[in-house]
Amino acid sequence: MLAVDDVTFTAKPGQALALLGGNGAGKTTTIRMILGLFAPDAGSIEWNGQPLDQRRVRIGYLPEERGLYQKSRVSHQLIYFGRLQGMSQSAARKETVTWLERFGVRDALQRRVEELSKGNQQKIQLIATLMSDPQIVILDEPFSGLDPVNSDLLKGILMDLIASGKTVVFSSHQMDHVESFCEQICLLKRGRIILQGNLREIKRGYGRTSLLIKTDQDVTALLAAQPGASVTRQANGYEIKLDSEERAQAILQTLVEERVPVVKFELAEPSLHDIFIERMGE
Amino acid sequence: MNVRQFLNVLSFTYQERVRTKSFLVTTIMMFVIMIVVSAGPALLSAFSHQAPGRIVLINEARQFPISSASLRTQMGIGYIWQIGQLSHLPVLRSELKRGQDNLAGIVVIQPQGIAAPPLVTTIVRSANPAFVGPLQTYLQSLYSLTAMRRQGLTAAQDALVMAKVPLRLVQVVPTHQNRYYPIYFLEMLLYMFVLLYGSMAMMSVAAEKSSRVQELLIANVKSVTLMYGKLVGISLVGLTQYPLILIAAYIGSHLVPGQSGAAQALFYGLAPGLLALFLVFFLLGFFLFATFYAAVGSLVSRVEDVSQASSPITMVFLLSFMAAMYALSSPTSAWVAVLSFIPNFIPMVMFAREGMTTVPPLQLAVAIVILFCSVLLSGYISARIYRIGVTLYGKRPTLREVWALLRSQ
Repeated sequence: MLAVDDVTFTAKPGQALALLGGNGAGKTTTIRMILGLFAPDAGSIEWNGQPLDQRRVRIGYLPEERGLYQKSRVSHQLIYFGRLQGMSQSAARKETVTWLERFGVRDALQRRVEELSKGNQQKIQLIATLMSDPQIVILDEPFSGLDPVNSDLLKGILMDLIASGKTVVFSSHQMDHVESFCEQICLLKRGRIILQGNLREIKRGYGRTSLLIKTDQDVTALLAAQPGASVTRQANGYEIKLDSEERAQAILQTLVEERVPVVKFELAEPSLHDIFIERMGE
Repeated sequence: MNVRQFLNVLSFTYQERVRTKSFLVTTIMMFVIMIVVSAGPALLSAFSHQAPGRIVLINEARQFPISSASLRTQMGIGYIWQIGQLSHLPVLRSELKRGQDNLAGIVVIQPQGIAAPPLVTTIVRSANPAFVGPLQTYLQSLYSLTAMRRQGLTAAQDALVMAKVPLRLVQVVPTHQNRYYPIYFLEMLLYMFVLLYGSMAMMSVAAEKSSRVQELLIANVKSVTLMYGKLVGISLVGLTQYPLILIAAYIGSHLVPGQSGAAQALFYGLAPGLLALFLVFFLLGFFLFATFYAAVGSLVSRVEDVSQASSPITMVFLLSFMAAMYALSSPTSAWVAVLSFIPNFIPMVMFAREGMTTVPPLQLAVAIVILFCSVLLSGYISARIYRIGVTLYGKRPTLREVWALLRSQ
């Protein structure tokens, strides 16, 4: 069975690359190939122009399904994970404390994992990924299951990582998170890349075709009569997909002529969410 | 294989096990149970000597003079012999039936004419007791002597006729029957070790996989390193508990004063060479089965599936234990010789052979080489299964699917 086919992308230091795609698109398989768990049948994975040697380059990996030794003490297993990533005993001990403090869970040090809340367990998991100061950070669905507070905490840490020149690769299907700090995207569908590149450029390529109108008056009939526009009524306004940017001016003119009291008229690039839906539907 | 990582995995596995409360509890329990079990034989023999049964002998055949003193000297000290009257027989019978006064049996000797041997009736409670055989031998010789006297033989001629024919047994392949219990004990130790710690390794692999810790580990550590670190770590847990079992066995068997015979029986003939050989078979045998147990652990997604998935391996192991039990009782049979060269039978069957007889050194060496190569092979196969297994979730793969995956690699 073919899981991924002809997938080529480049992740750069100081940038985040998002692997996007629906369930079963091949994100995890691609990540496992980068980690060297699966050998690709053809093709190569390179780092600085050389084939990637997972034993030389430190890779921090956060698996999609979180796993820790439930019965074991936090300090004991974090030091163990650090040691397996090539740290010395004392460095692992020191980093464990530093990171726990950074996440505000210093008191978890001598606790068993099973005694911690789910959010705190995820912090421990993330510490296990980042404590050895890896050059490449690979995060499989890092936001799944996090509450908004912890989500923001993670986002802040990822921003720090990117700013400090790490290469960050992550998979997600939560588009709003991706949009907020990600420069490169790579959209997978059934094991093939269907869209990739710089997120800003991709959006620009789409043009300003997403129109948002807010008004208290019911203008459904008026908008439905417009050519080249598909209208969705929302709670306090209308979302309109245009087939070209120019349509917006005609709509604005109609609204003015009909003396509709417009509260908001916004023409924007489509969101990543929209692009995702559109591309996946094809 | 990365030695540093191997040692990391090993020490983490070891500490995780040894630090738990359940480890402490099971160790104490094993210690106590072992003391009780090993004190068992000595306790039994001590009790059986304290309470010998009473036997009443009623002699109506006047031509055979039998005294309680002569019975005591002829029959050993196992029972208390008393001479009774025929008129008491009904009372004695009902006493025997009710199990009163420690009465173990009644013997009635009745004459059947001058020229004929007397009729001996033995009345016992239920089972055939131990005194019947020796009693018959004694009464037989008594009758023969009386008959010979009547035929006019002198005392000197008596001795000539009654002299025992000396019997000598020469074994071409000598067996050490008195090592039966020590060898049995060691086989039992190996059997328990593989089952206990093999399944512990399997459970720990399966638990790591189902809790997804595995994903984090295999990103950093090669699966071979991981598997062997774990297996050696867990075998060290076992080797921490085992000396305590041996100490408990020693204490237990010496616990009952005055029963040093039973204690010696448990440790009889265990020369350092034999023990060293046992250690070789013990460790190689453990790794032969434990690697397969670990591979099975890596194939299941849920801990609940483990026991079912591992049953084929447990079956094969059980078979080799049963073969070893057979080998203990007939160590020179051709079947045992054949089995002692088949990899999964070698650890237990070859050790049983060597323990109970003497195996030619060349055969022993060949068996160890075969076993060693099998351990390497099983380690290689299991590590590959492990590598595939740990990233495989969902339905447990069938043997055929595993085989196909192994070939495709």
